[in-house]
Amino acid sequence: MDETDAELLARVAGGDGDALVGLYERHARRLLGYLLRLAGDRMTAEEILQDTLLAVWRSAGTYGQQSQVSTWLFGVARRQAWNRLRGTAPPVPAEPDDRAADPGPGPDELAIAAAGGTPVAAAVGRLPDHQREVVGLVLVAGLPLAEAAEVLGVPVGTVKSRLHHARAALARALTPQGVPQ
Amino acid sequence: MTDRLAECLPEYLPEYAAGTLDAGAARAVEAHLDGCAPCRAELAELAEWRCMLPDPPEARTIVRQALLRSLLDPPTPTYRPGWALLRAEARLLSPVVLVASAVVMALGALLAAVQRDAELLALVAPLVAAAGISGVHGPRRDPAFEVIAATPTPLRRILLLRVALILGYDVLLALAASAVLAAPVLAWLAPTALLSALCLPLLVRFGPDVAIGAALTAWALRMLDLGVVRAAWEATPAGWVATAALAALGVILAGRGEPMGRFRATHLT
Repeated sequence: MDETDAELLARVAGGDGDALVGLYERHARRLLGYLLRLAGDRMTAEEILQDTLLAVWRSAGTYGQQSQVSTWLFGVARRQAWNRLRGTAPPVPAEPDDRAADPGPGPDELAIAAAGGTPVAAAVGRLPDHQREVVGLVLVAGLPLAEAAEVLGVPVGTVKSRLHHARAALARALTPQGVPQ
Repeated sequence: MTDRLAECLPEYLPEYAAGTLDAGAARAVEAHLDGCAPCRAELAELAEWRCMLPDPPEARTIVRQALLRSLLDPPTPTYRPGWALLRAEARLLSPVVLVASAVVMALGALLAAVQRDAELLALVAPLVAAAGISGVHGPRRDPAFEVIAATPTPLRRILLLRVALILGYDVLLALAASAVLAAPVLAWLAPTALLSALCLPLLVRFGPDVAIGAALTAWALRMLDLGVVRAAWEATPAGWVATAALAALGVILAGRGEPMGRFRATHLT
């Protein structure tokens, strides 16, 4: 574990699959946490994570050391996410007739389950895209504000204000149900 | 020092909660947390966010799948439509370059008007265009260089679009100056095209410094006003042929190999 991320990435660029495993083990949790907030469901998030690995494998040589490896990885993941999410069809609307009679989980419960099982996750899922991104990057993945700003290509001030608005919206969404955020 | 750190602390908290903060800063955060209830509450909330971190799929399995795909699926070049790419590239043009080009061109036109010598415009316009073109490409000039190197859009296409954008902009400026001064268009258009075409292959192969250096040298020689040198910049058939040849050379070089001074910027194929 003494190797730096940049050294690992250089080995990936040289075609070393073990190095990719090493890089994955260091960053996968945070990347998946971020992607899960973006995608909303686990399966899509894992697919994007695999897309990200493929993209890292193919373009590791383009990493120019101007930014941190983690910033670069999140940037790659973000591009892969939007490539895939832009291509997805909108969700099929639920059948309106038997919703009341259906003893199974309602749409809210389904949304909660899909988003990771907690009301907070479901509330994050209802935020606008740009707010979900900062929540995923800063709160879930724990990226420094400056790094998140670099990934998103916006000033740090913008990240702060998006984060502020996102948390305010989450607080509003969660208080009526009495769920502490 | 303590005051400033205290102000900044909430910014460090997400990293602290994520365990990504370096040891020194983490100690400072801990010291601060002891005496600050709001920050402790904030940290508790952040810790709950950390619970949303999922367990990722097993490393070797997912890496194996990705590598298998890299063998089986060829990289699919997803080209953006020309118009969207043009708009995206236009956003990357540095406002400094645009403003500086306009200012220099305006000064040239003003000088030409004061001196009542329309030929001055033909001295300024080519330099403005050459300087603009030299700045469109290269690791140090381009904020999006790394991203561009990683996109499937061929570098050649991006480079040509940018050259077209900046050249189009400069030609528009010169046309406007020309209209105001009632100066002949061909007098500046021919040397502008030739000097720009001279820049292109040099820019692609050797980078912006060599390109602008060569343009300045060539143009300084032209300013000396020696008969032979001057004739080379007139709008002659031979001049246009040279322009076309240099531009073509630039286009060919743009699609080939690693430009000098560029660190491994192509796909490993």
